[in-house]
Amino acid sequence: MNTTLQHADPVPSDVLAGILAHLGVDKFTGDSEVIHTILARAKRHYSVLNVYNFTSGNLYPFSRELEEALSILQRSRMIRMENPDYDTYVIPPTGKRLAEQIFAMFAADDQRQLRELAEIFASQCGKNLYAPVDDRDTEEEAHS
Amino acid sequence: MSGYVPRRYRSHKVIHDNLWGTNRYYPEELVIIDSPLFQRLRSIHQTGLAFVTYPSLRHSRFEHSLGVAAVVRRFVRKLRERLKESETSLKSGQYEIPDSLLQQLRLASLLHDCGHGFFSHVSESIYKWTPELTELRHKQEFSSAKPSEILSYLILKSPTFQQFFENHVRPLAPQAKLDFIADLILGKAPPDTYFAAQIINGSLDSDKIDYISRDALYAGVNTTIDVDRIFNDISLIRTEPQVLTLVLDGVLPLERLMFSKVVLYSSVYHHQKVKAADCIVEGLIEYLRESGKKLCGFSFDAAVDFLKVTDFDLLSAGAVQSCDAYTRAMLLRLQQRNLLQRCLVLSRETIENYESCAYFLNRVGQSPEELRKLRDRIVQKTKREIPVHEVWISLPEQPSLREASQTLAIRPGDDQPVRVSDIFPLEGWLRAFSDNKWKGHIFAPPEHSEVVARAAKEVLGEMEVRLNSRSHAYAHVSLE
Repeated sequence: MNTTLQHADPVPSDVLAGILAHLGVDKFTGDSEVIHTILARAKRHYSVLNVYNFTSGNLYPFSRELEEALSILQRSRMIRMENPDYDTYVIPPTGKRLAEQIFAMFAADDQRQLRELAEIFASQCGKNLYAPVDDRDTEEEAHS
Repeated sequence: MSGYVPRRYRSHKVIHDNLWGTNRYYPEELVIIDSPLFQRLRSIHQTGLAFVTYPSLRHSRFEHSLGVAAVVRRFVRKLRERLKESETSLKSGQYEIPDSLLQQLRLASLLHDCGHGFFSHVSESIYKWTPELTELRHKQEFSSAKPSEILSYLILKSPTFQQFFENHVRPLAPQAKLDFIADLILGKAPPDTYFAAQIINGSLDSDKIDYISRDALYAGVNTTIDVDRIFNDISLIRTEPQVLTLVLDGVLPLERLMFSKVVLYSSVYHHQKVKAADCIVEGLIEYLRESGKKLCGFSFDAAVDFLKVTDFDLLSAGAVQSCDAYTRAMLLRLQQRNLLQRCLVLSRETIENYESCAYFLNRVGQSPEELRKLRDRIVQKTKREIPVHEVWISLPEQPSLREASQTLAIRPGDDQPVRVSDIFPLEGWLRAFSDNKWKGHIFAPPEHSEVVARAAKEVLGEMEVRLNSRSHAYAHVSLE
């Protein structure tokens, strides 16, 4: 099905999927505040994030487009939340393969940005399936 | 508004409401309530076209706006009570909510929906894609504001409204500042009155308390929202030296509010018949724009056109008589509830290879242009003369669940507030629930439902979306 989308403009969920394609870890925090804060800060340096509009009036910078993108990725089973704690997103192997397909849709410069964003994202809120990262450390980093 | 001269009001007036009982509205509010801008809201249904499925769901933006003002008064009254209690007083630093702030909160609550077009969110979902709204939504000052909130803000900032406010509202409310009121509608306020923005447009705001309670009441849907408990548990705390923030004593009130919201989405707002009616309006506007034909004098190319027509205009006999044949047929569909019919259901249950194709299907839903291409292909495939404006792919957006991570609560025995999501993973839990309830639909005129179902299955099949027999069986379409 992705063949029909080769030349389409990226939509908000594509950008998030593109970041997850090269995350290097298979889990990341389910904490909305951390996710939105990381990408709101990164937006200043990465034009590919212009699909997200962040508001600054609430407890943390929030983007409705990013929230809906997370929902779409979850609804599509590209990512899922772990029951019963619902505090961590897991990227299953099928989700990872799909994310890579979406990543391939982007132009070269956007792909470079997405790779860099994946590194930032993984270092600040990523968790490895077999070597979990302490939540408190990642949150502190995200706020620093 | 330019020709409107308000009456002289000597004192308050009493307005009775089915939900909030007997409430007083004061002269500076009556000047606004009696204005054409506010009276127009009587003709705009709060829940768009949901009345086609829930016949008693007929309330308008008018009573909702009055209701939000009533909730604001209760909110502030309760906060004032809490601020007098010594424990809360310590956390908030001896703060008192001045009458002038209450006055401005009430004015903001009355005006917060004045930017809604006909059928509320139905027209909002169309005009949000106009070039001017697309540009505005990308501006920092409007980031994450809903399109109707942007329009409400711009109305308040217009020279006509500013002049009206100076001439007729300010003499009755000398401390009211229009810029402050307009910012409240966008959920913005200076740090020392941050809680005021939260009361008007925040995670646990008066708007939400009214619309969830009111929509559930008039739909006849049982929900568990406990307004008394919300007001009982709410107070103010200083999160930073200059920032006063709303805080809850427990998570229960927010849990109930969010459960109710999710139930209303799945059972009312996203009901398949409601979405079918929404698609008729979307198809009608699409037709008018492409054909250059007019309805009530407008082709609806500009966002502001949507503010000049009301639900009653479109549901009136006059509208039907003064338009072209196709527009008339579409209006009669609405007026006589001759709705489009779902011919395919798209969900985890009906798509065989859901995991490999659901993303791409949901992706299409984010782009009206992509959806239109797909609809064109389906119509082509039918080899019949079916207008594309009557074949729709509805892939509804899920509700925002930001409340859990944007509302603060205090755990028993703790001094410092934490986010509700730190106490209970409400957002993830409800997201899983609503994602599992999610359904998309293909709609078509009843007389073409079989042929469109076959064509849509073929088109989706070419895109590697394999639909099983439940996809048409759930829509009561036989493809034997």
